[in-house]
Amino acid sequence: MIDRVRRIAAMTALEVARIGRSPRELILIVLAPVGLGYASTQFLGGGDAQAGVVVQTPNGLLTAEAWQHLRLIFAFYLLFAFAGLLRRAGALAREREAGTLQRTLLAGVPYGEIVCAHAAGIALIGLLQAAVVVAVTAALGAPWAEAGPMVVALSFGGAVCAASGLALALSGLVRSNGLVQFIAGGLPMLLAYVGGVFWPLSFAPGHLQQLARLDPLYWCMVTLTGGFLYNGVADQAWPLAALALIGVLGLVVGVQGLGRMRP
Amino acid sequence: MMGTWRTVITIAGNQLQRVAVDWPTLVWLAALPLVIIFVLSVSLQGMFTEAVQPVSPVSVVVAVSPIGGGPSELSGADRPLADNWAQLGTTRDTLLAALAGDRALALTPAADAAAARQAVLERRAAAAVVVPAAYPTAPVQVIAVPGSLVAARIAGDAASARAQDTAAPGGATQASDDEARASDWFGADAFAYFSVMVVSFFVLSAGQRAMLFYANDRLGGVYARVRAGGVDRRTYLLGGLAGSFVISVTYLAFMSGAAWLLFGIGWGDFFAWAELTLAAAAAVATASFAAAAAARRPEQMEGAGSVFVMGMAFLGGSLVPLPFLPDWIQGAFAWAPNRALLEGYLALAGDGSTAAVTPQLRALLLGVPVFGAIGWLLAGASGKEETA
Repeated sequence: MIDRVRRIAAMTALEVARIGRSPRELILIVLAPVGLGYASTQFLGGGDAQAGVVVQTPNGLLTAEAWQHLRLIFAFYLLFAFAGLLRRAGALAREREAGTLQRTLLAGVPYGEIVCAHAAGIALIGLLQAAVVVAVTAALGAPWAEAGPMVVALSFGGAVCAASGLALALSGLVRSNGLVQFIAGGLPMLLAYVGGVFWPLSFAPGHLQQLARLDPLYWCMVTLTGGFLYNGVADQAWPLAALALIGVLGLVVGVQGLGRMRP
Repeated sequence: MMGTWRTVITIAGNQLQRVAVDWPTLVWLAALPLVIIFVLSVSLQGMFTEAVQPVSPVSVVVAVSPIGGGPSELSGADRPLADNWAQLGTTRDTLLAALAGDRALALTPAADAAAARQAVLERRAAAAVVVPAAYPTAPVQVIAVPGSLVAARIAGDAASARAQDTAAPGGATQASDDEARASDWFGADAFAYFSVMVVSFFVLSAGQRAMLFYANDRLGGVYARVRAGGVDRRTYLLGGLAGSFVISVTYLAFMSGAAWLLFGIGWGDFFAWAELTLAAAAAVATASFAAAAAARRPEQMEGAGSVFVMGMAFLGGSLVPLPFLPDWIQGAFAWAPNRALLEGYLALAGDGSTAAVTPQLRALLLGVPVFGAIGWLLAGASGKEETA
């Protein structure tokens, strides 16, 4: 049992280390969300400003401007978190195409452990990305600490859970790494537009607002809003349940699909 | 000399062919943008109408502090707000009338500011308006999710009413707000605006394709074999640049046609459209070349290209609509190829002619030698590295 855990941990660590050695992955997973998210706070926000009118957040914890900044940083984080983790979904397919997966199996490593390490690698990369985004943007002045660490952890944890689930589902449904990369390039942007990540959904027709409830990015934004603007963790429970459901469904679909793809 | 140009044309033609037969690229560059245009246009159509209306009136609680202090002047009243405020007879009349006249809002009274905030926190109301005792000297407080439609509506209504109460010059009226909204979107409807916005984003990606081919050719050994066949580095780079231009022109032509066919977007004067398309393709190709040349190694080119595409898209108004960007950024990045294309195509979509797109044409044509020179200098530096 200990050997099995050690092998899975080693394969997971190798998967994560591969990111650290790739400048392209580092740009897409770390630099782009932090850079674009933070830069956008310097350019955007404060859209409600009118003479003689003060807009306050419901719980008064943040100023309207601080909330707009947090929202923008989180929006860009979501875009790149989903893109980054969905891209990692192609890792097993790439190994299958290159033949390294078959060679690893011949060396005696059970397929289940490889799948387990693949899933753990995706989740770990997501958590590391979230930690870096929070730490760097907080150091640059983003008021993440205002609502308490639990609210921040649940906001980002929910996003990582849903993104990892989707990534695993993609691993189990798509055999070609090229197709995975293609989907990872376009799907997050589409989900961001439909889920009201960059602008409020209240502008959209009613049926599209209902459709957004199927979108994990919509629930990610609801989690953030509930935590920072309303009643903290208590308001995050419902959207987190939706994100957890998406994550679990993705895990089941992914593991089933990868099981069928055993070489 | 003729041989060089023949090689450049062959490389460019080959790159266009590679795009045309690669179905994931075709789906990425053609099908996905069309889906995004449709989703954005249908979702955000409300922003383009003269009065943005939510699906149903949103619940708003109102607390009015009396001039002498104490609980809200509307407190304890179970009657509709309209019956209450009729008794006030104060300067708040204008404000309350403005709010009550907004069909997007369903108003109910609150006992005081704390009760109003509590109603929002418990989600019994989407927003609260607290009118202070010192109104109109003191500002009206709007308690809502900042950036939401309801916050924007109330802020707009309250600002208009306050401007009337204080008789401040330059006070915006609802009518002038609507006019401003229409001019914000360049007079375009949702489908025209988002078609142009999305095309101006994806053309950056299309232009970048040729540079990725160059990077992959270097990694895969194709570049070395072609060089061994007698093609010098400069010719190969020029072929990549020409390929980027040809791909961009073809892409813009295809997407313009698709937008016309599917969404009924007219492109005005054909010659003005052709001039703008050629100039934009040249600017995008040279800018992509400069971005790719900034990467010192081929493995870094895709990353550099992604940063370039996202950065230019954001600053040029192709990722976030221009009306959402602050004025200074709209002014500072008017030179960006995607931004000039965006404004030029929007002018053409409004039946513009060459005269209407002259500033954009000038910006694009100025960008070509500047980006080209930067790219050539950077490519020269990495060329030395390659030789070493």
